[in-house]
Amino acid sequence: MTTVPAAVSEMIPSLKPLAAALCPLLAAPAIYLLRRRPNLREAATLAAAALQFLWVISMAPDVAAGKLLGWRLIDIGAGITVGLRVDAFGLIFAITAAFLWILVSLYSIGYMRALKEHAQTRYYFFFALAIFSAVCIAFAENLVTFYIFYEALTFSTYWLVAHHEDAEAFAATRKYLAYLLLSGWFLFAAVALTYSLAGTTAFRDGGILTTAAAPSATLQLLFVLFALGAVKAAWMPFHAWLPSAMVAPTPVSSLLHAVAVVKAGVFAFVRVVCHVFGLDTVAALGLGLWLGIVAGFTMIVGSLYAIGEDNLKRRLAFSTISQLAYILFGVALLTPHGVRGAMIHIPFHGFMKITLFLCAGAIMVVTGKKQISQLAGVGRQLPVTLTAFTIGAVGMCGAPPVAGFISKWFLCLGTIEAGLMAFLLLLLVSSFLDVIYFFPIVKTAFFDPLPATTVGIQGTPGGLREFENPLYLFMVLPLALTAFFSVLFCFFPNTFFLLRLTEVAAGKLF
Amino acid sequence: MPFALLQIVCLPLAAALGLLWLRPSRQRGAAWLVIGCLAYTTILLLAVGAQVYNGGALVERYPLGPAFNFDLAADGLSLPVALIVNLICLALAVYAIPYVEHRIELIYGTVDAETHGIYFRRFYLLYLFFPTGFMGVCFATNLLAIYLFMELLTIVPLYFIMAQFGYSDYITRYKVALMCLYWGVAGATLFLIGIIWGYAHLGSFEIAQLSDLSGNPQALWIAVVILTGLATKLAIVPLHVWMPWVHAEHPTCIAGLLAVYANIAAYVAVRVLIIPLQGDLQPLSLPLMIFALITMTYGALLTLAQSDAKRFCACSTISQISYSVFGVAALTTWGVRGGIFYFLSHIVGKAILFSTAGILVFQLETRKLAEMGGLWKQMPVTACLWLVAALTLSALPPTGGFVGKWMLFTGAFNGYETHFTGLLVIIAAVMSTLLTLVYTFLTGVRIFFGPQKRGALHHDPADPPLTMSLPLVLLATVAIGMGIFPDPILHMLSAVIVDW
Repeated sequence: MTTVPAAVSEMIPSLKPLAAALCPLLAAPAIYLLRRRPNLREAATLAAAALQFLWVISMAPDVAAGKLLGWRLIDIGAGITVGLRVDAFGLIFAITAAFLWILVSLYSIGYMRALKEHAQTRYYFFFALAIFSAVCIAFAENLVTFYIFYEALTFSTYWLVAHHEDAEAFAATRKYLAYLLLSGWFLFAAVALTYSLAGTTAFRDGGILTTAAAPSATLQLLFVLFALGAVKAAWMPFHAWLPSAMVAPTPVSSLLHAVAVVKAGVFAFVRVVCHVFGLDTVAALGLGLWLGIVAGFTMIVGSLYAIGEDNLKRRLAFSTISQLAYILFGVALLTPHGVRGAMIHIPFHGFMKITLFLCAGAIMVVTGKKQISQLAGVGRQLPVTLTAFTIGAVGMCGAPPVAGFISKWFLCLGTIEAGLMAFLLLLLVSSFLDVIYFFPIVKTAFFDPLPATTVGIQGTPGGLREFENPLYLFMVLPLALTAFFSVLFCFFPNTFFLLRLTEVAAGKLF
Repeated sequence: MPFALLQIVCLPLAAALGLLWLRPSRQRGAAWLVIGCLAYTTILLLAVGAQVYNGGALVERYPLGPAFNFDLAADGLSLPVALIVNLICLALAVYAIPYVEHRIELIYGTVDAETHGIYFRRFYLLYLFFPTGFMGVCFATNLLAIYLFMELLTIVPLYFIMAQFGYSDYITRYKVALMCLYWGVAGATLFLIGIIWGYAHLGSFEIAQLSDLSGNPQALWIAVVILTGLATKLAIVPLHVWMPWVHAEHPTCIAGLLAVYANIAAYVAVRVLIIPLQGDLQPLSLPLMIFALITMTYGALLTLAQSDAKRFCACSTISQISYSVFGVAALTTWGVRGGIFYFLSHIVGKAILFSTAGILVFQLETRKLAEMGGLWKQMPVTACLWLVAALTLSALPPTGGFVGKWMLFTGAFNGYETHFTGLLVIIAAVMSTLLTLVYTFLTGVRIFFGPQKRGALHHDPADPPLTMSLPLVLLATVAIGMGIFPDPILHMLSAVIVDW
């Protein structure tokens, strides 16, 4: 086996990625030590989150100028290297994770305390570890690092999904672990085979595998291994873990769905296509079309499942499955606009979906309602929450003036570039299905009358309930902010350098 | 250091004789004599390691006859194996002190100090045959010598310790010991037939001469006979029958060494077959990998079904050994290096796991997993040791297991890049390693978490005395050190297992 030296020459040594990753890692023991002082404990989480975001965003100008920042942590030998390296695409994911961690931490305070949840220290502890793993995934320099933190993410979210410790939670957790551990082991096989074929695992623009490296059957098998390894992306038919993981507390569901776990899955797909195989190799092997078909199938069928679901969180879960497939779809097009659309959809979908989940959680805390059929008139009790929900829903459908419009625009351009009109049609049908399952929620909440038995503040029927408890403010503020950002991204998609970063990332690929 | 290798091999035997001079009542003295001897040989091994670190070999010649000699050679392959094995022997010798005292009381009832001392001394006397046998197998350069050391291991420590200090009643433990003796001797005899067949062609029992067989059409069949013999030791399905019995029967303090006893055959296979004859073995590669895959899966499923803390570990050994066999069978440089590295991390991890199970049996006086639960609060050290062992055996970072698994599967892929069936077999093997994670962690969670079953236990659970936990902490450090800093071992291995 020839060992190819990893391309480090272009990398500027910098401790910033390490500093950003260490914030949540150091927050975890602090959270444990402050377990008897809840206010200080939450302050530690918030401080770590804010600090982390500052480190992450401070790298954006350099990375947007096309530089790579990184730090080789340890070279264990035998090709096992743990290193962090920030490129434009990784930074997009890290910005999303770091920024949303601040808001979700705030939201958690309101949510967990209003529900008087047990084991809150454990919750914040593993939350911090999950964010640590997610940021390390974003900054991973090579596949081995990526794999290690991919498994770490599975383990650190275990207790978050199992939080309620009842039979339902443990059943869901078993399913969760069964799917994700199996997929992790497939990823291990894929990484080992990649190293065997290429002699390196470092991500590189244009890929490290060529069609000359092995017979195409081997490379196709490798791609299937990677796809099975990225089951975190919840592509169909390997999506069943995601809806059942909805038993977790809502901030966790929003973390899983908007920030950490599923995004790590699609992130893996984009990395593999763009930086391991390389677009040319994927095209030469004819894998783009297959990936597109799987993604298209997931888009449509996920939406159909969502239409039939009455539980609000589960409907959102199926919506996630469908929306994540957009990202796979964009990459599968193998065209500049398609790839950019896929990359930009990671933060944009993150912000919109987290808005929806935070709204679902707020509705559940304030009114105790989990089913969509119970939501009649809730809009009058929680006007801010439901307005935010509407914004998120409009964004999901890809309509202006919300961020989803931008990513859908790029994806549509991508299909036209690729000359696949059938895929364009698929995209439009899918976003039409999004309208079908989101519109009834908005309509029921705002336009149907409240049931007569409902009691508002001071016994006034049908009154405003959003502000009856000051704790609710901790929920309403973050969800209003994420909704605000979802709109802002439509008018200024370059907020946090996001659009510029996709341009840099895609520019190096074509 | 003159006669360093001879000292390493023979000093334990000399110490065994020395034990006979000690008054039986001086138990602790006997134990510390053994520990001192093993500590000394460990230091010798480190000194030899410094000499052979950058390639080369240390050879000592002790000719005995025309075809037979006791020449000893240390090189980059035998030294890491010998060092890790000797460390385990040392750690378990310390661990065994409170354990054996307890065992003697359980088996022979309350006896006077003299009789107790005799039994205690007898255990350590037999125990010392383990390091001698292992070091002999590692360093011998003559096939007959390897055979003799393997027989020595089977007959003296394996048979007698089981027969005298076993778990079941008098009749059963002699029966089980006898059965294991038969299996061990049968395996060794096949090995003997193979090397005599080789002698017929070569006129020599030297390992160095074996490469002359290369290209001979009978080389393949000689290899098949030798491999079948070694597969008996390695407990490859369908030759695994003895393994769960022997482990369940043995006192736990040497159960870690039984994993070595079985797995060291992988080292022998590399030494006598793969390095000299790798070209001729190619047709055996895939079948052997498939056997290893079956054994890995079967052993893991068997483990999942166990309700007894000791049989649990035994079945796990069946599956774990086949990981290293799988890597070795791939016949690529990385596969063989990874297989040997995995062998080392497995025996360290297994010694910790077995001994932790032993601590549970010792402290709780029950072997039933169902009676344990929620012990985390009272036995934090034990729980941490179990965690390290579980991480090592499940091959997760930051332990040596991960490095070994990574290398052996990378190496296996390397040999089968263009062979689709081979790739599928390797992927199946990767997936079957997931079962290890399931059984180690699931069982760990059952023992240490969940509700406490107070009524079921005879004692209030507590962490064991330091003589039991400290040696295991040392081994745990080695397991993690191998994961973070595997370079010295890999460096030495790469000097012997060169690119071919």
